[in-house]
Amino acid sequence: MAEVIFGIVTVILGSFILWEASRLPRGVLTYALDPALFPRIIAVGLIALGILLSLTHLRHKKSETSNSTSVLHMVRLLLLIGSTVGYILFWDRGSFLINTFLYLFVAHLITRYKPLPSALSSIVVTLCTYLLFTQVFRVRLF
Amino acid sequence: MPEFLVALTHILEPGVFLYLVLGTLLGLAVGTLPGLTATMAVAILTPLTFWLPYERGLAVLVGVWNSAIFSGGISAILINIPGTPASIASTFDGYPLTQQGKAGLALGINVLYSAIGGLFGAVIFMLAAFPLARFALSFGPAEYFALGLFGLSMMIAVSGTSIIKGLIAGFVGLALSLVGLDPMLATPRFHFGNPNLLGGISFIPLMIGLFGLGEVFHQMTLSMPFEEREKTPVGTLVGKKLGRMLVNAREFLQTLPATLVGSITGVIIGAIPGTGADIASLLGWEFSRRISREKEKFGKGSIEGLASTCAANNACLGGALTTMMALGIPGDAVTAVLIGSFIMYGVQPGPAMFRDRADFVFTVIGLMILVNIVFLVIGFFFSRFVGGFILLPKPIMWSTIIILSLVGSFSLNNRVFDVWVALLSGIMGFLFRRYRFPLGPIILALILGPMVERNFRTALIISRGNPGIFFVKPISLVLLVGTALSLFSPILLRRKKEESV
Repeated sequence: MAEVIFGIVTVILGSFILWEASRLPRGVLTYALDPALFPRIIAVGLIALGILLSLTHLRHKKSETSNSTSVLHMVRLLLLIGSTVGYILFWDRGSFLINTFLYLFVAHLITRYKPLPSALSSIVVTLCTYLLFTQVFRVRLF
Repeated sequence: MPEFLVALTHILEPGVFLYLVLGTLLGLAVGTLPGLTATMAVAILTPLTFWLPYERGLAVLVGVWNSAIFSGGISAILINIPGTPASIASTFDGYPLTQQGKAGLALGINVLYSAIGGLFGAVIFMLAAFPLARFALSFGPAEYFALGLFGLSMMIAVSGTSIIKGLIAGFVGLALSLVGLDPMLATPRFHFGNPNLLGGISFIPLMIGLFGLGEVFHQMTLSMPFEEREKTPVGTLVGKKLGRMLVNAREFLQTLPATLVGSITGVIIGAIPGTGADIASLLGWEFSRRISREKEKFGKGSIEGLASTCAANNACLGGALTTMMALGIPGDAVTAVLIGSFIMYGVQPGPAMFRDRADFVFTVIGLMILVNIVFLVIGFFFSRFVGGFILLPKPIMWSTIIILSLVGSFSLNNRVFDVWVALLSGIMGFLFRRYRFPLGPIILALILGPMVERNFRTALIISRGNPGIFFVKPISLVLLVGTALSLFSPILLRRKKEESV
């Protein structure tokens, strides 16, 4: 089923590129100068491949996932991605050291690492990252 | 001053040597840890080396790359889990040798023959790259377009179980390459009013996301409980006597033909766009088995088998670099990522680089030779100790990779937008991995996309819109036939096999 969904998403992506390409200015003198030429080819390719993928897997009805995953693992991943989104949203606000420490601590807890080593390793990784980027690479962090 | 002398002064600089040693040590850690790949390491380290003079940055990347490929064999030998895909074949004979109480010898063979193979590959790279680049300088737009397609088709053909999935990955990469300014007329395309997208999608955050964050997300969802994953048999090996590491004269002579076969196979496979060290090492092992007088020992702890596979996977790097630098077509995913690193240093791989930036080419050649000597020394000292890296708790490893990926992406242009690109690419990388879509074609297509489009349209302008130009030029025709064969022959062969069954 996943491949069918992938196929449909590919078709939607292709159709979107085709629609966006139709809004680009036309080329002059020759069709080779048309900035929409290559996007159209890519779009048609994506649509055709999306249909092909969906049809192939509708016929076989077998999904090719690399590994089975429990709901718990998936929830943990979603929590980690969610906390990463939060971390990026607060980029430039507050302090790099505090934000990064909190993010790493939460990330460790999500991956079921013990609280005390989590806190210690979060402090070490935060400080090392901060020193590496600000002192060695001279990057201005928030 | 001649370019090679400029390169020599770069390579002999103590700072460059120190960075090479640092890169080699990092690669040793990365390669030993199952799940961390050379591609991921090069992707994450690229923005970190951005701040260094190019020769030092290159020293770190070349060190990590070469060292990670050889050290993937350490965990393959000690615990039967290849550290990187390039070391799959090292488990065939490496682990049986460990079971026979010859772990030290297996680790020694891994270091020595990887260095021999690596030096062989570097010498071939030095000899072949310049003539190949000179030949490629005669290419016109039609040939370049066909070459780009050929490179892409080769990577798609060998990178997964499904050609359709490989093609989709390639087309997604091409679609991403459309964002920004049109390469012919600089017409803004697909930027959706966002000025951050006018310069195109940032390549480095994208590859950091695909290969770094995506891999971490994927590992997190593997069904094995975390607690069990940390209990690896290496704990029983650390601190124990592993036995002698050096091969004796008889063993060295016995392994010479297999080493040569492995090295030649590695270089040839590496030079074919889209292949890589994993295929090279498997084929090197198989070809050596065929010529060996002791075929029956292969897979049961044969030192010939281990020597050939170790030589093949490091020799492959010289071959891959030859194609990547001379033609601008990456041999595998790591060289695709390395192209991004080269572009970051202001150098576009391809034949023109050999004419305009020969000093850069000579520096890479010098580093490729030097790194094999460095990891030979470091490998002999550290191989028996780095097994302990496998005990590093996964959550700490994951969070360190995530934070380095995010901050590394930001540090390139001081833009939060690049951090979002890395995260979104990470999610995409995870989904693609999970459903067995290859990632290599995305990166390759993103790199080759503008080149393919520019040459496709230029060739059409030259021919006044006649697509026949791609079929009347002999080199272009050969490459297009090769493209069609690489894409369709696996399908036809599978059909034929099914029919015969």
